[in-house]
Amino acid sequence: MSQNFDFFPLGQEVSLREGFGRALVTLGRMRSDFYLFDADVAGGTGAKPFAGAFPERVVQFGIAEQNLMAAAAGFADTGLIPLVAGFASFTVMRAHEQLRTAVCYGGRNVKICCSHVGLDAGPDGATAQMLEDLATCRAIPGLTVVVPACANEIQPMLAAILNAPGPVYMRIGRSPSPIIYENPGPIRIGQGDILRNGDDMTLIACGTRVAAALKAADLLATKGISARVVNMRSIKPLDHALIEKCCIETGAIVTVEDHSALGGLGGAVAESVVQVCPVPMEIVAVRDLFGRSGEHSELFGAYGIDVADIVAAALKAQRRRHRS
Amino acid sequence: MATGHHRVASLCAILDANTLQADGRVCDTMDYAPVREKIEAFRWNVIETDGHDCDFLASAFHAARDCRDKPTLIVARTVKGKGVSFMEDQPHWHGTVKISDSDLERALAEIGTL
Repeated sequence: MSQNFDFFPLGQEVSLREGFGRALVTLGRMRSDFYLFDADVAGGTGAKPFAGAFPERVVQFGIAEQNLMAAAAGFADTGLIPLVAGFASFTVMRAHEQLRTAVCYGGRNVKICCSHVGLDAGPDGATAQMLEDLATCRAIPGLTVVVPACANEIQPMLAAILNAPGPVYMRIGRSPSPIIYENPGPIRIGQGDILRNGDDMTLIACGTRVAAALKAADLLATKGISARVVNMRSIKPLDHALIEKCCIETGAIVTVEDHSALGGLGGAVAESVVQVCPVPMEIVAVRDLFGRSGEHSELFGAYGIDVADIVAAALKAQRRRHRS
Repeated sequence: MATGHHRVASLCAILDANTLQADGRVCDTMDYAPVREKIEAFRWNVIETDGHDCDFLASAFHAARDCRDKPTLIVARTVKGKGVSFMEDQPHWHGTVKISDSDLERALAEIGTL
């Protein structure tokens, strides 16, 4: 299937929502069984090209996300797949009860793909910067949660989630982000990916912060620290085996995410680390705060989730590792 | 709103209009009247009927089926706890399952299952 994918070239910066739009059209040509459920945000989520290519496969609800989510649950019972695309704040947060009870309690085959997550939402400000979605979504029984790290990961990831039974939440960014994978190959839900090997610690990142973790690993290398970098694209189910392997082989963990430090990637990995193989661990994430309007690149630094913050956390983890 | 806009004529919803909620009368707690005007404004067909009369209900369902361009709401006017004298129209019974053995026996006798 991957030979049919149309990838962006390495060296470019492409927003994940642009990758999402391309993935929707590519997959839309390959299979006719999914429908876009839109809440008047196709321009913002990146879904617009799909609406242009397949207008008969778009169901419009206007700004009424709770109704949309409940209708998606009902639509799934027809055997066709509703693909809900929206802003995370208004989709998984506003319609959280419908997601939990109408979709997930019944194990319904609804795919939810959201843009405007984290500080990456930039100028749209705190109301759109969804910093709590990984925490709330991974707590719902039966809901799979995946996070692509670059635009090229979305085509195979969308293929994987359309093939996976039951509800899935995919977290997509808004702002331009470096292309990491020339061709990521097939995506297996539940597995993380080692992007760079290292022995002294492991940087486990998700979303656009994977690119930042790679830059941090470069800087750490100049200080003589060999950092492994993992793209933890599957938040739930989480790759416990890979986490255990990283704990044993590298002895320290640093997680990096554009999300609240409460209950996101860091929380999920910590839950695993303390149970499989406790090692020093640092969490690079947004503290217990709302975001604010600004350029995403400035906000990452202002909220402590940029490259320099990862390096500082890594050095701290390194000191703790040597003490223990 | 969406079903009215999309003219989902095959949809029929039933409102059990029993006038009670957990803490008392709906009209005292947070009144939603007038229901007909509100739902019609969402481009629905509204039929009001006695929710305890099967003939009236059957006519309402036929009328809903015959309405080809709108979804239909059947407002079924009912009395909560109907048939059990000490439960009828009493908010107390909205959310409780505690009942004495003697009251249970009396209730079952009144609705004819004993």
